[in-house]
Amino acid sequence: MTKSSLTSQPPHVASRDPRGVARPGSSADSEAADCLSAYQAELDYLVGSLRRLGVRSADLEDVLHEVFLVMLRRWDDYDRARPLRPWLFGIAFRVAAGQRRRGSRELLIEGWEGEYAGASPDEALSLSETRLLLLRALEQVPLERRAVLILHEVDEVSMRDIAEQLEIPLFTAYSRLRKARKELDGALARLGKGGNNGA
Amino acid sequence: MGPKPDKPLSDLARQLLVSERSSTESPALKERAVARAARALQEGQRSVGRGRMRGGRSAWGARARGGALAAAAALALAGLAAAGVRLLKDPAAEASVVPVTRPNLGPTPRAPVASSPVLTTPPSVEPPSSVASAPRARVAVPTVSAQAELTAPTRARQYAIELALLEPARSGIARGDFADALTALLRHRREFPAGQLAEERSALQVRALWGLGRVSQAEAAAAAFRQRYPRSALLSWMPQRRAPSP
Repeated sequence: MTKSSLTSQPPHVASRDPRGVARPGSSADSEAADCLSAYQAELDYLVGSLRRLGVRSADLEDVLHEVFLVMLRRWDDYDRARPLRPWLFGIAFRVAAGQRRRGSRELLIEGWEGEYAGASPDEALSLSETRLLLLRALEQVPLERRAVLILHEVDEVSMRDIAEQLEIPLFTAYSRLRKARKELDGALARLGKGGNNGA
Repeated sequence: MGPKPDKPLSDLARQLLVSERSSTESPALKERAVARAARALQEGQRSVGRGRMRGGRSAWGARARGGALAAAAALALAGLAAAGVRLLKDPAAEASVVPVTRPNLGPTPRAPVASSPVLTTPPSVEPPSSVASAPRARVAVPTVSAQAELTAPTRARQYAIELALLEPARSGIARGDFADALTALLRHRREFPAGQLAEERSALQVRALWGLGRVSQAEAAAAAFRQRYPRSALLSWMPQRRAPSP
């Protein structure tokens, strides 16, 4: 797979000293403003990532805000020379995993209809039946393996960068990807053969 | 370099995952998220509303009261206001609802797949070069109160109601109003997730996505449709599936 193409810095990310030190004259406030700007620009990506990591619509806004607060706290640690999205995904993954550990309800297959309840038309457009099929299938892939799969297949991040971002050995990353592919295919096959209600 | 995975993804899985790259989220949700983040910066807030998350160190909280940051947060909020953004859902923005005329509830056998009553307009198979931006006429979406009134709806009655619900989608597609068509399809799905016309609904969704220019999503939806309905002819208009983009 090709390496991530997300290597060019988005315009909202301010440049800084390669050592990671804020340039003289910049202020912590402008750093926070940079963070807010980056957050705003990457919202489609962040929301989509959280959905793919199993966060339900009912919890989405709170979890998203949690991601923002973590971004803000760690903004000084972000290496501007590296792509932004893998870093963001790492935060989203840890926040989603933390939410799951705190006992948030697992998204049951039969609970997916609730995702449409109360959705406005434009929200519903982002939850097409096809997308729900994928999200339901992803739900059957354990989170650690799902993260590798998403980073590789959706975000096109190199395996080396995935291993670094998720802080796992490269071999482990490959192993998780292999298993996740198999699990996703199996889930789609089961769901596609009448395992869902009205695809 | 590490070991290679020994088996590639299925075509369906790959298409579905690729289509995620172009997924977009609700503008209203994004607007609320930005507004909340901007307010958090202005107020120096560190914890999420439900108190599930502990705040970070207080250093940035103190800095957040700085003038430059407050100005940046205010600009974010002002930008939303300038764009005429409503941060709360506007019920008036939902499709209008008019009572449905109770259909002739005589026995109506299910139409053969190849001549489905909801797919009579041959579609143009060329996706538009740009997403349709024509003014959206308000489309009357029939209520399903008829469904609620019936204490024991017969299969034929349900079929007729489903047909009435899908008609706005069909007519929307016929006049090129694909977004409104998707709205009508959503309504059908809410009321009849496993209805008799679920297959037709799924085929119409593919058509509507195609018409909106969301080609990767349309192809992913088509792949899922073909897996679920392998003998269906409802997507015979669709060109051969293109290889997914790398």
